[in-house]
Amino acid sequence: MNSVLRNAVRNPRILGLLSAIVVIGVIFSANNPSFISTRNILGMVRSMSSMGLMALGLTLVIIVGELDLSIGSIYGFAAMLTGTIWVDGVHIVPALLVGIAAGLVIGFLNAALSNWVGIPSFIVTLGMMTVVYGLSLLISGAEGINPKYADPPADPGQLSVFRALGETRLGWNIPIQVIWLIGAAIVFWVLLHRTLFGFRLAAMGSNPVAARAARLPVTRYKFIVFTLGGGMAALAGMLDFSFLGATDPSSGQSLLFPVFAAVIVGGATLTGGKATIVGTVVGALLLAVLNNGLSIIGVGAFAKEIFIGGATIAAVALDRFTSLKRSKAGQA
Amino acid sequence: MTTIRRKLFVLIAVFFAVALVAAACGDSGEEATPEPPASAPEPPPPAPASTETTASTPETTAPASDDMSGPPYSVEYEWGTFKLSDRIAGKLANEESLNLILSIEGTGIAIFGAAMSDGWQRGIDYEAEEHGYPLAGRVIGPLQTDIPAQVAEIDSLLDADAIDCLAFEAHEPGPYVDIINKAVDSGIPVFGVNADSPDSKRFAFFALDELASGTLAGRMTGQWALDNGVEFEKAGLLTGSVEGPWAQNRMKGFMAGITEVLPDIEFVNGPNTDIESQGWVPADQYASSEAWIIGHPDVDIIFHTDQGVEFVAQVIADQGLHGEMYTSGFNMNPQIADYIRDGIVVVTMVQGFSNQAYNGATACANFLLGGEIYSGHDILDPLAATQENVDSVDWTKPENQ
Repeated sequence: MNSVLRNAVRNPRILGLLSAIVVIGVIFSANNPSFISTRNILGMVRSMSSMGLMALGLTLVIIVGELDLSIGSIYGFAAMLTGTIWVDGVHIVPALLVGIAAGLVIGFLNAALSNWVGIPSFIVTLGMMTVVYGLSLLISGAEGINPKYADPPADPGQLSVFRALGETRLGWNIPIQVIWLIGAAIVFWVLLHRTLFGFRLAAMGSNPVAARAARLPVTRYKFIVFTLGGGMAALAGMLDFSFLGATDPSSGQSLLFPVFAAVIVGGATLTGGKATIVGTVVGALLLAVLNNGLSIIGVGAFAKEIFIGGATIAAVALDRFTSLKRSKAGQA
Repeated sequence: MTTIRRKLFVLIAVFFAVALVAAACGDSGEEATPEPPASAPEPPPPAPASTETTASTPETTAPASDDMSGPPYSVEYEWGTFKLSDRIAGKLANEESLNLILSIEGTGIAIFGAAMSDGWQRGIDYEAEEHGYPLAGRVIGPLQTDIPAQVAEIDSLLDADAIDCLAFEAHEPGPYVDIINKAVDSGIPVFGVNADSPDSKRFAFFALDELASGTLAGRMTGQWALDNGVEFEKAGLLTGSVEGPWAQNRMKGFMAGITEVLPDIEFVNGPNTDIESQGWVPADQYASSEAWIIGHPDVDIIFHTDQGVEFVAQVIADQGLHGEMYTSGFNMNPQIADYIRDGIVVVTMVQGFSNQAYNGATACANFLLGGEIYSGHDILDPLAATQENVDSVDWTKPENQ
């Protein structure tokens, strides 16, 4: 864990993001002291967990040089599918497994169409985004689901098990969704930064031609990252469903941009080869701080959109500027 | 390379300049673009509604028909004469089935889409039986709000002679004027439901009066506080769509209504100041409501313009503020009903989407088959759901939404 912190502090991007979070936090706190309250910080970190989980999955997809635009739809579909079959009488445990499996299968399909048929992942996942959203509408009849009020209502025992997944508060009132995020972040950090798998992913993204020439299992790895990405989106959808106790077919549609923004602000490049798990988590945290702080101070109708969009553009501009500077320094 | 880029840039700049000039000088159409109305177009969002709307009887007075015994083949309106198309008159003469079409901004908008479809179908089924005449109908529209797609779909169906009566729900008033006028000019009766395009030639409009509904919500909330000895000193506003005229009117109405009863109440924000748009994604609505409530612990009553009232109530419950902070709003579902029973939600105004669509279908059928002439804005009152009446309706049924 120490090495994570050491690397993070050495990484100017992450250091910059952390400094920005502190500065923004100070400004928000000065404006409204509630911002710095434990209650608010826990709520803020909880609310970023689903975005964070999806961003972790997307980080792997992006580092290998691909894109997945279908994650928002998968988030909504997995929750809706779980809810639908649950209220139709299936026990909650298999229903949850079916929901997660749906995310994995859609991720696998994205990979199959992209790798076997040769369609660029941008197009495949753009299409899949619409297909999956359509499926959500189809199975739900365009209506939301609240299992507690379904006809007949969900079994109270199963309902409490399901709600516990996303609603439980642990010691010091820590929301369980935060633990899900931390746990997933550790797994993904190990996977990306401490295994041959992660090293190869970065190599494939940096230079796909060389990776194929070196006979790296590019196709297999892409299948793995797309499938994982779908699974993470499904998990995030399920946890939010559990926390709120209800879901609707449009859920997840607005998450695509913030999730991409978190990964990019965290230092990933869309061309692949470069991304860090700590960067992604800190990127998600920055967006959560902006979202939460702007809500607290009630700054105005469109401020969130402007700030989040602006932060994303600024992060990419900064990245471009620093890499240009570095390459010039290298040439000198 | 730099020169090429510069040239490219200049070319693009010139292109845009020319496009702008062309657009500015171009013919903007015969009809002037209408001003958005001061009152209420309707919500994009997913929202429940009610059953018990007290629908007023459609006005049948203003315009005149030259043949009231059969279908009104020719009717005088303020804007001129409507003449039923020969095609539809022929269908009526031959007792052929009529296609009644309702176009809404988002068929996939949760609750809203389903409730509108339910009401439209109920209206058609009822009138088909009532008149003993074959009526067919469906609800059309994009999945989510997409005005150009909605207008284009209506246009295609008009060109294909596939509409015998049109009802519409307009996300914004202006963009629908031309297509509605095209339909009316080609002899097709047109009615508005839920959200209007008042500068068009549509015959009549069936919906809430948003300002009055907001005022009623405010008045009832204030009165509840007085009756129960609860002190409301500070109030706040939240909304899913701050830019919506319907939301603005609900907020203005609420402020006016509660101030009538509690003149000293202070609002920490206003419809246009220090207010954010939460959108319609449940997780986002919860998170932003949570942050706002934590940041405003001194607020006693929060008015939410739409079904976001559910998440305000959920945050109040989760934060242990039950009995210290209250909320009122619009729309209904079983969860909101529970929060009313718990005493967290004071009042919520149930709009009755299904009922609005039902009225549109009824107007279409009665105009074509019964010779009834409609005009103006028919105000459908909302049901104000409180602890007193929350158990009187089954909120899981689509016809109640």
